Amino acid sequence: MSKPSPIMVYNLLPKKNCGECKVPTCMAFALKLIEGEAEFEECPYLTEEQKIKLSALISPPIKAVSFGKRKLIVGGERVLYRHELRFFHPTIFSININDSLSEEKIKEKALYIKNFKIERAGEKFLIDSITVTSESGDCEKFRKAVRIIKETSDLPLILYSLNPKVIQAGVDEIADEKPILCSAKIDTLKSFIEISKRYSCPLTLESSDLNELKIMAEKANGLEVLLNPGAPSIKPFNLLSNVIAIRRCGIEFKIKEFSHPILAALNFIAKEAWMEALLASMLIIRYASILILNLMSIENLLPLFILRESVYSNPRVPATVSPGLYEIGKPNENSPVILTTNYALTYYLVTGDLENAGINCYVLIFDSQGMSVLNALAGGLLSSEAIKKLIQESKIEEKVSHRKLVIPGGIAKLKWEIEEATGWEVIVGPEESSGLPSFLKREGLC
Amino acid sequence: MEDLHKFLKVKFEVPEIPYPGSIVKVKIGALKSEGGTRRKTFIVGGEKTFPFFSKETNPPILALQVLDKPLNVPKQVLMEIKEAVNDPVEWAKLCIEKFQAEVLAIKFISAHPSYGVKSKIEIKETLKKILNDIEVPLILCAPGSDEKDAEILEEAAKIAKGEKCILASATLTNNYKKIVEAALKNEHLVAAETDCDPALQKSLNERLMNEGLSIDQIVMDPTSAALGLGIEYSISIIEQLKLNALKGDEKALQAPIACIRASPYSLTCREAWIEDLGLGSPEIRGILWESITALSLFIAGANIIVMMNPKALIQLKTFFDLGEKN
Repeated sequence: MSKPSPIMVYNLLPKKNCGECKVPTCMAFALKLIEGEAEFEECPYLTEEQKIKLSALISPPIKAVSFGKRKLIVGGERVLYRHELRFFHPTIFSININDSLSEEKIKEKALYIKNFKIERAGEKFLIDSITVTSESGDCEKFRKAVRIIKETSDLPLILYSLNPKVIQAGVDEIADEKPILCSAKIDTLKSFIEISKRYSCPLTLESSDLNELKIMAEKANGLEVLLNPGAPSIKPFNLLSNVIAIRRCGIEFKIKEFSHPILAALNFIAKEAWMEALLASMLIIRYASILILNLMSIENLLPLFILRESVYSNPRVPATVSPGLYEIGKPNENSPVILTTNYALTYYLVTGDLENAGINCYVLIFDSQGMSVLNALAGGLLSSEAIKKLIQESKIEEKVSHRKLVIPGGIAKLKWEIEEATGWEVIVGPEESSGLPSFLKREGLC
Repeated sequence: MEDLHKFLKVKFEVPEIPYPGSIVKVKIGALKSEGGTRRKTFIVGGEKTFPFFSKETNPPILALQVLDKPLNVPKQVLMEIKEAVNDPVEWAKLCIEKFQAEVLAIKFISAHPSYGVKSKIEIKETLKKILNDIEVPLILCAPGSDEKDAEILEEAAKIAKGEKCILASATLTNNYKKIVEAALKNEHLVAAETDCDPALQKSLNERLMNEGLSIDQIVMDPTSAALGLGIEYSISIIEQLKLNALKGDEKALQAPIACIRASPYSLTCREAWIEDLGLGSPEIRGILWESITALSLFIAGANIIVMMNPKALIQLKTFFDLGEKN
């Protein structure tokens, strides 16, 4: 990955250090621009010429495209591997609804998608978008399906048909909502480009032949474009190879025609739910910006949501959960109280091991700013005073009748200090969370 | 725009800038003619890029793990292997004959100090029977205890002399010198285990090589993070190690990657097993959890993946078969 030097970017900024971009100095703003953490539009003093130069210097190699009323952004990616910087705009899950379904069924599906919600450690997973597919090939039917879905949910839409007339009928229903038009093939490209221009909607180009896709992208120059490198009959692994080839051409080889976000319509390609889920997981890791899915059930979507959240997390910021008091199982006033940090991995390991063993207890999550137990200790974040404060703020003393705190084995040396500061008896637990359930039982704590 | 078709005669080829380095080839298992008793052996490694980046992509070698004593066996696994869970040899047979695992991993969990130490004689007996009844290459897994690992692997290595098993694992904190010695004396390979840190992995590999191993006698197990438990760390560490190896300047990192811990660990993730009506079928979820974990490791660049739930292994194998077809 080649990055411009901070000084090159700084020289194009006004050097006023006015702070109006909410970054104290122009140099700091330059660094943020390079890391993709700020947009140059946030600086109010740039001339048009500076903007053009900056854009050439720092624009991501993969263009960003936005769609829907709420301007959902896809693409804008800069690297092939997340450790090099990060991935920016998480893969959109767009669930497919066919227009050949009955009106009630369409409404029911749209409602289910709209209300879909899973929560995990304070995180909410929602479906991002709906795709309306013309199975009937009938303009009026398609128009009607789009209308029903639009009236049921305000999720950003993707309209799918290979017939430009059908697409025209659909987009006419939601002219000001910027749906993605999907998909132009080489023979229908001209009509699709006209519709895309007329309604200012992003256009998807579809072909499993990369040469054909490149020629089409050249013709669609100037439009907001997405690439769908798999016709319905493509072999799953060929689709994957195409997606990877396109992204490498866009980032490694800077080929302009391939610098667009990628859309994959798995609803046509995978025959069964599990297969769709596995294919989707590969494409979350490897570069798809939008996945059109048939999948609706929670057990299939949950692992995909978690994979997406993981892959698109910032590798420079440790994953955390909110500090405070958490209940495992159904604890009562005699249940043990266990202390650990808010590093997300620690949290999932500790609570997973306890839950797995069927233990009812309280877990006090300490704000270690995402550091593991040992690092938090070394960094001075884990002190007896901070633990005292946590005990007070969490009101754990009102929930349990005992005053016994189990601490991680790694911070055994804080035992006396914590006892003195809090008045609680401190029990030094094992170093690994996997040993915690048997430890609690052995010590007679549960 | 009607003339677009005339451009189509050209086939677009992705520009290729080959990496200077490649992953070292490592052979697992030894046939009768090679001093072992395995019926099949595998060569892993040799690749010059990431999966699906070039035309040839080999699917990963998929192994199943059995425990020598049924301690904390996930419910999902129990449902598949039933009573055989009490007999590691029967369990192993199921893995190979019924579920078609290509490699068998046996973990001597009973030797872990926190479970009370099983006598070495029992471990020897178990391994002898497995060597006799199972014909695929083996991964011999220590209990994961700094004080016990080397001792157990030394015993196991002797019994399986000449079989080219993977001794799993040498770490920076256990007695890796003894493990390397056992591997060299008895013709085995060594897995080098670290946790998501390229610098530590390099340091461990170098130490193993200083003890006398060559790079084609090492596989790396750089992560234990599964889906929902930090899979992103697994993906990034594997990608970093692969890139370092392919760029050619880190010879010590050119060993293939064997993910021995991460996939079985996926079954401990709360969402993988919990019976919560709001989260749909726990069975479907559990299988998917492990196959997505394993698939993620593969996509990032892992060559060998040890799994635990037979249904997840079957799902993944079916996926690799179908992926080539329409």
